[in-house]
Amino acid sequence: MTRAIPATPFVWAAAVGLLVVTAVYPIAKVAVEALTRGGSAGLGNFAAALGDERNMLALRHSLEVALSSTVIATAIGAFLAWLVARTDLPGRRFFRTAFVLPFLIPPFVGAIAWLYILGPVGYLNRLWMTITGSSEPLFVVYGYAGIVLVLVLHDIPLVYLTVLGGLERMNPELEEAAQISGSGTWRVMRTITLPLMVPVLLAAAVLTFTSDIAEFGIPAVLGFSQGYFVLPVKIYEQIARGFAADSIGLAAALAVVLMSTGALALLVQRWLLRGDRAQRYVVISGKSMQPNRVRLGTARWWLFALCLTLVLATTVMPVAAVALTSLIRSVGLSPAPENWSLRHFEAVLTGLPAATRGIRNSLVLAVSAATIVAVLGALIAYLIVRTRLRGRALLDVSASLPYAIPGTVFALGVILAWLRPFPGVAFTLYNTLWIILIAYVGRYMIFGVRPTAASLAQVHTSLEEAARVSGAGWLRTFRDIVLPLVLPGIFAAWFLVFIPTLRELTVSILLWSAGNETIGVMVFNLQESGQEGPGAALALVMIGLLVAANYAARWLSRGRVGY
Amino acid sequence: MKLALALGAALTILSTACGGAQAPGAAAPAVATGAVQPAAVSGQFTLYTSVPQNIASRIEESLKKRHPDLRMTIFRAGTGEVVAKLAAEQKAGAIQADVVWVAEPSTYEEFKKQDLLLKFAPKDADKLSAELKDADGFYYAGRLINTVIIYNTQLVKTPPTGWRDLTKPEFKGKIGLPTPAASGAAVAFVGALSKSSDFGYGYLAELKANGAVQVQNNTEANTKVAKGELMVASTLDYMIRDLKTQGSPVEVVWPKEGAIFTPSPIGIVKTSKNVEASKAFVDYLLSQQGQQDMVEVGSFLPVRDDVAPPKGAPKLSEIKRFPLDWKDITTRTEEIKKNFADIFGK
Repeated sequence: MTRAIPATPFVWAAAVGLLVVTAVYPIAKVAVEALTRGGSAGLGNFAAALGDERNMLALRHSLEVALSSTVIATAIGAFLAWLVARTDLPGRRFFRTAFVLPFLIPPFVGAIAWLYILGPVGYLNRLWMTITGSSEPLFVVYGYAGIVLVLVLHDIPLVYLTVLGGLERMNPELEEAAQISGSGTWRVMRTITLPLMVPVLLAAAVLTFTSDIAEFGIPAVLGFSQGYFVLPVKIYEQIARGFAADSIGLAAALAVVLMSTGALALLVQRWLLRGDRAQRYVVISGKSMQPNRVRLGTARWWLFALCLTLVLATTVMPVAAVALTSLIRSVGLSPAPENWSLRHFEAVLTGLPAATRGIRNSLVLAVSAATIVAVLGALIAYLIVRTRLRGRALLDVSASLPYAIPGTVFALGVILAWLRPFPGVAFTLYNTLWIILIAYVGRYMIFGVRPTAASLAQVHTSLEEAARVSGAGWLRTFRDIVLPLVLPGIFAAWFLVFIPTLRELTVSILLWSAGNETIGVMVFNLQESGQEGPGAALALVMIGLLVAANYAARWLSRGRVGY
Repeated sequence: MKLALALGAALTILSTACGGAQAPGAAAPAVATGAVQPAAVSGQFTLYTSVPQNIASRIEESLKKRHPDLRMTIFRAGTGEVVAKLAAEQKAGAIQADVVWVAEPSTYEEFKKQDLLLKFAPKDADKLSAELKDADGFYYAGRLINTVIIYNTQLVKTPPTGWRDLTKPEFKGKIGLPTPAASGAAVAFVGALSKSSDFGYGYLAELKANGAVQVQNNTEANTKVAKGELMVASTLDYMIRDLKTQGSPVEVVWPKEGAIFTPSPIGIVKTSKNVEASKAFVDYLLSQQGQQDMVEVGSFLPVRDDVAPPKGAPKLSEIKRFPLDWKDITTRTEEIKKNFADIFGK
């Protein structure tokens, strides 16, 4: 017997409706803009945009930095996850947290930190030149190599977290069985662990690729002086500094090109996992698991040293560079203690109302967006994974697109969508905090869908079927069977949205208005208007907030959520 | 109560910062005198400006002192960004800005063409010389800024004397130029030099051949020069004074061929619903008190003769100006940005 659940269709309709309104509608506005030139429909914008060789060069740059960093970051991130989850690496409890800490450093702040370290006169380069007497810096973080380096450092946590999650959900009995049957460590890894991890690795690579090809902050900071432009930066310039009448149309056309690359990556992923291949990866039973750890032997201390160096390079050094810069009284003075002062912190925390407002606004936005996305995302994930709803594949693509396209362009879509006052009432969302919230919800929707969908995909339908057969209704099955199993996914989703929205820049920079600043916008504004000291001070406050939020989440969830 | 304490702390720091760091000619810091004029007008308005963030915040504090009943909210970004935001808002028929204060007049000539500005007469309009205000009454200079040369005192032994010197091999690869795509002052700089028969766009190509790099804006140029990543750059005079008082190793050169003398205009948006409050702000800004405050918080050159320029700044009569025509620059803005991008964009 199945109880009637009259609320259900309404809930689904509302979830899909909100997805359409927050994610699809703004992108549709961009598409319409792209296809309109001089008031009439046509492909004129595409012809003009792609006819410009500099745009084509930017597209090539985008692809080369995104592909390079995706390959490198996926390899490193997956290896680190395996070390932590499956080996007897010394200090793995420490590394477990430490590897994801760069995730707490906003990408554009990371880029700026690496400028402090490896700019032509960065701390490390100056140290190098002093020690060796060389007049040439060791490595300058500008251009292709620099952009890839900083992208990789920021991607590693994303890959690492995704793969770690997969490894921990994977039933280690399969690996143990192989070991008992006499297979060596590497053989088990190659023949059991790696093949089982394919969907997770692919998911991680796709997430990384779509995020890297859309990344604005890092290439904007590191590419400009060498004239190394990527597509999102070109688009941003057309939107934010466009001087020609058709700027917005050209930007929209380029955005459509970039959207296609993200969509293409998703299609490749779906094709690789097509048909019954996905069935092979259903490896979770309802049993508890205790992973069997691989003994690294003598290599463990070398790997320990390597991991420690990585933590130093990805976390300690950037934060130290930001901290040091925030202490220097005035830009250009030597970083010696006699030039230190706390005046930048005083200025930022008591003399800049916009900065304190920005901190408050960002907290309100991050909590709201994370909650909305986690709930909405879980519903959509269920629709995608568990129902036979027609067009459900479209839901995944719809939820992914806002993150696959550059934030700048999504922000443009949001402006185009919500700028005009609602008919009948003299109220516009534009220049309010709400428009930023709506943009965040749309943009980070995929982070609400993916973790829950991944959890669901590994829970075999047999459990639900058993409940249904035993007479439980859909709602009860969802509450008693599905929800407890995917709850970690929902928690993870909340956190995966909370952190990036707290540190968000790309979307906010086009949507903020007087009184509705975010902390990222303020850091960027301070940096952009040459206030290196106050900018570094506020960036440090921002990092402090992110770290505090992280530990609060860990504490609240008793270690289940957070890094 | 907490708020009052925080405000008190903020003011203490602000007055320390102004008194200590700015040290302008005036004996008593204006912020502390509390000579509040009777505020006839109350209300709120929104200012879109390219004035650097720290100075914009100090202006907010000054206004709070002088006109406690006026509430100002600020949107700060580069001139290019402010103009693009206004364009987007205009396209949708919902402009949020009441007052616009960006770098240079050609932007306002364009605004005039688009019928974006309100015609008005500030109280002290007659105190401004003719070249500092629009003949049609749409905008008025709120401050004077000059594009000059900044150099790093630790790296540069023989400072350049003018724009031509930047092509010297001793500065090779260490020259910064703000991009006109973002900076209004850079539009004026490139516009003026490209028009000159002695320089032209060929000069920019020479600089590029000498390893000049584009930077996002004047303040980034200053930061890179102060840190020693660059030796020289073109930038704005008031920013150099501000950095010097804080102790950075930089110095100003007033180029022998002339500085790009730029009246930085302020105007009111035609569709503003807060015209009275906006006018009250412009009245304050152009008043003797307002200009005195601007000298102190921004180290700007005043637009009035009866206000002394900031310490270390030349008098208006002493500044040699590079010849330029704002109307001409207005018609060439697109060309200026495009040519600069063609030279430095690759």
